Amino acid sequence: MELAITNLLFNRKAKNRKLDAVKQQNLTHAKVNCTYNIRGIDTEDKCMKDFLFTLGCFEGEKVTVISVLADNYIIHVKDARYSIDKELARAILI
Amino acid sequence: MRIALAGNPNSGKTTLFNAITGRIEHVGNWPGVTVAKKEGDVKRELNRTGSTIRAVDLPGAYSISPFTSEECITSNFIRDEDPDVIINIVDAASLRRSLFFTTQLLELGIPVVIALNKIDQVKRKGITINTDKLAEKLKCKVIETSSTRKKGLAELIAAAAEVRGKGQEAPFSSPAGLDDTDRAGVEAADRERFAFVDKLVEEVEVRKIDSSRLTIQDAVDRIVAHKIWGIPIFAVVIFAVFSISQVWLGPLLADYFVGWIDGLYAYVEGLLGDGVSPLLSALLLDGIIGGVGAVVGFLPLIMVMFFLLALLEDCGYMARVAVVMDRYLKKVGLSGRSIIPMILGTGCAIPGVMATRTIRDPRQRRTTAMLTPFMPCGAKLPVIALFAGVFFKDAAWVGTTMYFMGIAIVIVGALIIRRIVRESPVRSFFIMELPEYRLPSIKRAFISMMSRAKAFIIKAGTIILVCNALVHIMQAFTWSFQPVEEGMQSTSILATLATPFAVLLIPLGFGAWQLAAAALTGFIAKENVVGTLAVVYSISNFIDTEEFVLVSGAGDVAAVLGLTSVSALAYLMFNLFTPPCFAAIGAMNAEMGSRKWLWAAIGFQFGMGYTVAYLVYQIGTLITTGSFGNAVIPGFLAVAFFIGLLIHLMHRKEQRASAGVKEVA
Amino acid sequence: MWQNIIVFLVIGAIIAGAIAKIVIDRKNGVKCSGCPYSKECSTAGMCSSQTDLETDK
Repeated sequence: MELAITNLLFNRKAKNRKLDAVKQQNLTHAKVNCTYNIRGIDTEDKCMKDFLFTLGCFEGEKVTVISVLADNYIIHVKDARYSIDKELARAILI
Repeated sequence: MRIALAGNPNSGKTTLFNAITGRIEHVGNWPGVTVAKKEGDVKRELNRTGSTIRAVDLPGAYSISPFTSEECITSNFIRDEDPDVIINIVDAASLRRSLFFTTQLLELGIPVVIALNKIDQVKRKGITINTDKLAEKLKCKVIETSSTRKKGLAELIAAAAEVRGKGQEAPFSSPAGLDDTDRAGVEAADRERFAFVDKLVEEVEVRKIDSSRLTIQDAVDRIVAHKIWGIPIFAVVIFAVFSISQVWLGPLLADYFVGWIDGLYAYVEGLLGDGVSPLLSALLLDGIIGGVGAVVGFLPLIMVMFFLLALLEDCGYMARVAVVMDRYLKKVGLSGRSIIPMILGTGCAIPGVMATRTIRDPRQRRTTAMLTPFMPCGAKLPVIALFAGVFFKDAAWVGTTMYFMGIAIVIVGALIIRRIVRESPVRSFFIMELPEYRLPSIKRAFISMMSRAKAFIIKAGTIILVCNALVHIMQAFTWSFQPVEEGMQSTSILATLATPFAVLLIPLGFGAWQLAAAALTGFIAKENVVGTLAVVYSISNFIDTEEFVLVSGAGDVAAVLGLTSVSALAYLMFNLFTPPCFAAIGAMNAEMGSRKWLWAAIGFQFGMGYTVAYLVYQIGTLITTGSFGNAVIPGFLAVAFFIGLLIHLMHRKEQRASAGVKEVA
Repeated sequence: MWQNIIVFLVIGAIIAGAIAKIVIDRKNGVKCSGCPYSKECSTAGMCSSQTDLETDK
């Protein structure tokens, strides 16, 4: 048990060392209709990151939350609109 | 020569494919309707080359490197099967995103022609694109098209024929010798690729309106996909669909149609005359014409419904429903992707179950495959229409309730399965491009309706016909192959086969062997429930019931079936929520890839249907008559056994967290 | 009697035709004659991808 926790903490630290510096603000905190610069994609899931990349969703790009529908965020990236779920919205840091 | 159609999801590949080949593939105004590749020959009037051109429609992809199973099909085809020309369909409204894929395609060395699709929509939005400059920069031909309006298609094919065998120069190449496993390298290259695209778009495109602002569409979205209002609005929409198809327009058309079927019946009856053996004439008249006629009689109602559903899908509403539902499915441990199989399942459970293939997590995939058949599919519509018409005066709430019961059972089922099967550590996420609302095309909806109606008729003329003939023979003969005597119906083959099952159904309020037989034939195809009821009760017409009263004098159909409103509702639900037809079970088997899961699924579906019918019948009877219905105790024991088993399995999972798969229920 | 034979043949022809259609369809890969789109896997799936635990290692 203890080992697991240490492990978890250690992993976290290693992965997020860089991100700890910036304030952990992600798309769920975004104001509707404001354009933000993406600071990074915070996910341990390589696939998710690569997939977002092919949509043009990577750091330095602009993103706008157009509306929040149910638990989905309608975002505008690269002249296209997507509906993404909370899980994904949390991964996009702004 | 072979041309491949490739492009981003929802860029209109399949619409273009249908327009150039004249085929009717399923098109939806939402991304990813195509999952497998489809081939067809280009229509003669578009093809001026004189030789056949084969078009291959590929699933949508955002990039050559595959992240989803659909993208895999696309990139494998382009890389391995070496098409002569690639037509890259680009949604003109989102060049910035689409051209990323285009630049990857251009690197392959296969000649590319760009179809700048949805060009009419773009012009309306105040975006102008300098096509010539785009072509020059990308070093390939760019043709403006509108596949929905069939514009630019001949030019597109001509351009494709012209560039064949010419090779392709790449406007942007990733650094030579780049290794796919070098993540940082790939990412840097892709970043550059995006930068290249951005610069290019800057040069060729002028936008008057910033599309990142809230539009009327978004305002509509906020209402129809609202957290709270989304579901009631969906209910109202489904209610409207049932009202129109079952109360207003449908019966109007059905009356005419049923008149023709009755006419055919009378005509054949006259033709046969008195010289024919009554057994044979009954087989032809009541078994084949009557049974098939009873099912086909619902065709107008169903066509109206298919038409309306096609309109809903075409206008972009169904994608919003997916967004609304996603939230609830997530909460019960399913993936956001699970909603798609379920929506497809309202047409037919088979493509619905097959669509679960795109869910990567096995637990979610199997759970979705297990629950998708609970959605009332097209084959169940005649059953719903029959019971709504005969017992509930064509009330539209019956069908609407069945849809929402289906959804409720899916949610409850998912909750139960999650507690039985170990949760996999896989996190899933859900992203979907929301298509723009558009005015639904009457023509597209009409084509979709006709192709489904054709399928319905084929099914009625094959499986349903054979089943009805068999049912008729089985009910007309005894085991010693003697004709059943008048008043001795219970000695027929059918009756003796169905009676053991009928006994099991007594606690549900419908213990008659005829009803059990109908439910059993429903496993071959759900429409058979209607056909078999028609055959065993010799009713050829379920729609024009007033006429029926005059003919038989037995009061009405409800009296003939011997069901109260409550037991009729229970019978309807039993038929809808038990295991689906064998074809759908076959599809479940293929997608689940596990016998254990398959049997567990069938057991679960059967238990669910039984429990729901039991509760509806007993509680309904208690409310309407003040006392419980037949055989309340044995039924209670059966239901308690089922629920107890589920609870036991849930407990076992808690105790043995390592137990992987659900045991056979 | 001849009427019976004719009617019998007609019924036989109808059923044989129906069965032949089912068998031909099955050979062509249609699992269920007349089920809409049952031949190919047509899905309105969307672009999602999911975590494979291995990918991160």
